[in-house]
Amino acid sequence: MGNPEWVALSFIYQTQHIPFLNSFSYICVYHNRIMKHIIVLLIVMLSFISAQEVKGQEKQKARISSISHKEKETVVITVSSKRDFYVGNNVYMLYIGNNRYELSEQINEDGSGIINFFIPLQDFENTVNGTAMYLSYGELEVPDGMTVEALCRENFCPCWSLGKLNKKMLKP
Amino acid sequence: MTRHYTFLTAFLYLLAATFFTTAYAQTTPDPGIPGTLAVTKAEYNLGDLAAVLDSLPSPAEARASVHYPTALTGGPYPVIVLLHGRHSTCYDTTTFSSSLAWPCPSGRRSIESFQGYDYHARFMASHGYIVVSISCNAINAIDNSLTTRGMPARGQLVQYHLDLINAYNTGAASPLTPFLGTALVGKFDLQHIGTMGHSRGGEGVVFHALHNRALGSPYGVKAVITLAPVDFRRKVLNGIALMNIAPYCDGDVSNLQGVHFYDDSRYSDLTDESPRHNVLMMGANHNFYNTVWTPGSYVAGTSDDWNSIYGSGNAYCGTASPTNRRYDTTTQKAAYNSYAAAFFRMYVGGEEQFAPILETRDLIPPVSSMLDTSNVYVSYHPGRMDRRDINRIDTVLNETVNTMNEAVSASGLVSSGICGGGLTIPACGISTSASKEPHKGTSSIAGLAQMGLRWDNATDWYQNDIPDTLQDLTWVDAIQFRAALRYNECVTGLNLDYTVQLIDSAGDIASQKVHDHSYALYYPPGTHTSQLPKVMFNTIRIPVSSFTGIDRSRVRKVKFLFDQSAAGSILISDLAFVNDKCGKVAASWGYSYDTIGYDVSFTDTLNANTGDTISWLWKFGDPSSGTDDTSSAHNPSHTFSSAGTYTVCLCLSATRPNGRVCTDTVCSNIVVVPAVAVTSITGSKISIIPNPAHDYLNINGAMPTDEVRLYNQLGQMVLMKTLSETRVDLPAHLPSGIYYVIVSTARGQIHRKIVINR
Repeated sequence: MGNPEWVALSFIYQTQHIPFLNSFSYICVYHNRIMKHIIVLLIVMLSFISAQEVKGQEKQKARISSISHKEKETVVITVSSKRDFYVGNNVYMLYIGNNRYELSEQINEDGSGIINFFIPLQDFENTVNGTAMYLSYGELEVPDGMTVEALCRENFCPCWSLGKLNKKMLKP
Repeated sequence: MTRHYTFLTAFLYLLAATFFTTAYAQTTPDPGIPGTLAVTKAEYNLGDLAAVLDSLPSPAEARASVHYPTALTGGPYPVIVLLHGRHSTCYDTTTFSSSLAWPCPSGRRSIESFQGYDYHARFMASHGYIVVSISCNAINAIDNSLTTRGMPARGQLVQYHLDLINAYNTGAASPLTPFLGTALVGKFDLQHIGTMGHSRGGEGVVFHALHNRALGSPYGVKAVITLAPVDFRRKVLNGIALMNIAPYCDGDVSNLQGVHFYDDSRYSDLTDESPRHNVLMMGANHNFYNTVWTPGSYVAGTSDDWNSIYGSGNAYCGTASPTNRRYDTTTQKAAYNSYAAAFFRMYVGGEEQFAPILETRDLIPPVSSMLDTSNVYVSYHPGRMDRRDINRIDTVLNETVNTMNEAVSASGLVSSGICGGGLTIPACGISTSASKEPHKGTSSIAGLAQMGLRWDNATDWYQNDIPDTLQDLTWVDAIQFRAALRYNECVTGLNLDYTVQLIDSAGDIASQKVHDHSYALYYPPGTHTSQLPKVMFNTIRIPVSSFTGIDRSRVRKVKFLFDQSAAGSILISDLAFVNDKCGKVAASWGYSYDTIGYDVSFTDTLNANTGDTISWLWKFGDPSSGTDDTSSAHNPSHTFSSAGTYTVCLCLSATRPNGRVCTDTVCSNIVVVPAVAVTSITGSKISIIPNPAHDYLNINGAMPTDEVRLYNQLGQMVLMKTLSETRVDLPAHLPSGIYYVIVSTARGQIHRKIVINR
C-alpha cells in the first residue's frame, strides 16, 4: 500500500474511474517489470492525448465561401469556418484593401461558423479585383515592422487572411 | 423562493478577512462585507417578444430578476439595474452547442446571461438595495447587423423596465404583479438608481443615462458603472458619477476601449461636478464577471475569453503559463463585487466612508476583493469643486504654458512634448489605435493629449509654475496626476520612480518619491504580442502635508526631478491640486470699494450643500493691519493699510451633515488705489462703456483735465492718460482679462472693473 507508484495509479483510478486500471494496478504492485511497460504505455498514451490537444489549439481557418447580392444595393460576402466563430462583444471586421466593413450577421450552427458581411454594391464595384482581404475580431492593429499578412499568420492573433477578392464569385 | 445566503457568505468573508488582515493593513472600511439583511430573489418574464423598442426592428424579451431584502421593512430602497453584454443567446438542449437567434428555435433554450450577476445582486440586496438584472438576448441576436450596434435599443430597454417598475410601484394594475405580488409596491426608490452594464451593456447603460436625461430625467440615475465595456460610439456622459472597470487580461474587448468613458468626459464640460473613476484589474479577463459566461458555472456557451482568443500560453494572461497572474473565478467576482459595492454604496447610498478606496487615498485594496496592491490600480478625476487644474495637458500650448496660465519648463530631457490628442498632433508611438490609451485623439473630443517625458540623467526635470493667487496650498489636500510608463522607451520589466518637488517663493524645496505614494509606475506586464503590454494611466496622489520644510502657503513651482533611475520614459496627464470629495462646497466672493479711505467691503457668495454648517476665514494679505488681517465674519470690511495690490483669500469651511469637514479656498488680487483717498462723486454722471471692451473705452461725463488709469489683476498700471477726449484707445498688447479703471477727478475718484475681450 505504501508503494508510491501504486498510490499514483490508484489515484488515476479513483478520479477518472477507468475500470481496467484497477486490476492492472494490483499487478503493478507485485510485478515491477510489467509495471514499467505499463508506465511507458501510459506515457505514450498521454503524449498522444497531448498532441491531440495541441492540434485542437491550431488556429481556426476561415475563407470566403460565397459572394451574393442582397436586395439591389448590397453585396453579401460570406466568411465560413469549420469551427464556430467566437461570440463576444467586439466586432468582426472585414478588410478589403483599405476599406473596412463591420455590418454583419453571425451564424453558429452545429459547430461551424458563418459571418455574412453586408457591403454597399458601389464599394464592391469600385474595388479592384484581386485586392487582399482580411478578417479580424476587433480593430486590427499591425505592430511596427510587421505586415498584416504576417500578423494574421500568428497563431493567437484574431486575424485571418482571406486571400484575394475574386469578383467572379458574385452570384447574379 | 427565499434564499438565505447571508450568514454563510458572511462567515466565509470573515475567514478571508482574518487571513488577509494579517498581510495587509487596510484603513478604510471594507465595502465588500455582506450586509445583514436576508435576501429574496424573484423573476418576471412577460414573454420573449413583449418589449417593443423604437430602435430595434423586432421586439425584445421583457425578463428580469429582482433581488430584494426579504423583510422589506421601511424603504423605499435604492435601486441597482444590471445589464449584461453580448453573448450567445440559445443553446441546444441535446448537444449544448450555443448560437445566436431570438427567440430560440425549437430544441434550444435561452441562455440566461442576466442571472450571471446574482452574486452581486444578492450582496447589494443584503445592504438594502433592490437589484434588477435585465435579459438582453433579443438585442444581442441582431445588433451586429445594425449600424447602431443596438446601443439606443439597450438604453430604451433599461428605460422600458424602469417604466414597468414605476407603474408597478404606484400600486396600479401591472403585468409585474403576477410575478412579484404586491409586497414590493412602493419599495423601489426610483430617484436613487445605480446602473451597471457589462461589455456592450456598458455602452448600453451610458446610452440609457443619456436617454433618461433626454426624456427629462424621470428617474434619478446617480451612478453608472461600465464593466469591461465597448465604446463604439464615443458618447460622453457628464453630470453623473461614473466608474469604468478595465480587466487587463480582457481577450474580448482587448484594447480596453471603455476607458474613454472616463477620459472623454474629463474636460468636455468644465462645470461638471461629477467624479469619475477607473479601476484597472490586472488579472481579470472579460467573462468571469458573469457566472453564466464562466466555464464550470453554466451548461453552454462558456469560455475563458483570453485563452480562447489569444491562447493560453501568454506569460501573464494565459492560464497555461506557469508565470501567469490571472485571477481565478472566485477572485474576479470578489474584486468586482468589492469595488462596485464601494462605488454604488457611496454614490447611490451616500456612504462616503468608502471614498478613500475610490479616490486613491487608500491604496490597499479591500480585503474582500482578494487583491493586493500589485494587481489593481485606480484613477480618479474629481469633479470641478474638488479639483484645481494645474496642467490638463489637453492642448499643444500646455507644453509651455499650463492651465493656470503659468510657465512650463524642462531641462535635460531626452525628449518632451505633447502627443496624441488631436488629428494634427503626432501619436505617442506605442499604438496607432484611437480606441485605447495612450490616446491618439480625435478632432472633436477635448482633453485627449498626454505629455511624454523621457530622461537619461538624474538632473533632468520638468516643472510647472503656480500663480500668486493659488500659491497657498495649506487649503489643498493633495497634488495628483496620472501617469503610465512609455514602455517602448524603457528597460523591459523595470518599474520606475522619480521625485516630485514643491518649491516655495523663498526657493526652499520639499521632495517626495512617487513610489512612496503610489505603485502606478509599473512596467506593464505580458510578453509582447499585438495586445500586450497594455498602457493605462493610473492616478498618483501625494498629500500636500507630506511636503515638509517649505512654506506651503507660498508654493510657486511643482517640479518632477527624474533622479531615481538612470533613464526612463513616462506619459503624464491631469496634473491638479485636489481636495477630498466635498460635493458642492466651493468658496467664492465679491467685493466693492467703500466711499472713504482704503476700505473695501467683501461679500461671500458661497456655494454649499443644503444642511452644511458654514464658517468663514478671510485673509486680506495685509500683514501691516495686524490682527485685522484676518476675519471670521460672513461679509467683512477691511481697511487696507496703504495703496497697492493685495491677495485676498476666503477659506470656506463646511461641516457636512455626516460630520465631514470640507474646505475650499479662493484667492484673488484686488487693487486698492494709491494716492488720494477715495471719495464719492456726488451726482456723478461718469460712465465707462463698453464693458466688455475690445479696443477702446468711452468715458463719458468726465472733464478734460480728469485722468484715467488702467490696472491689470496684478496691480500693475498698464495705461495712464489725461482725458482730452472721451475715447481712450486700449493698447493692442493687453491680453484679454479683467482690468480696473480708475478715473481721477477734482471731485474724487470712481472705480470700475471692466473686461477686455480680444
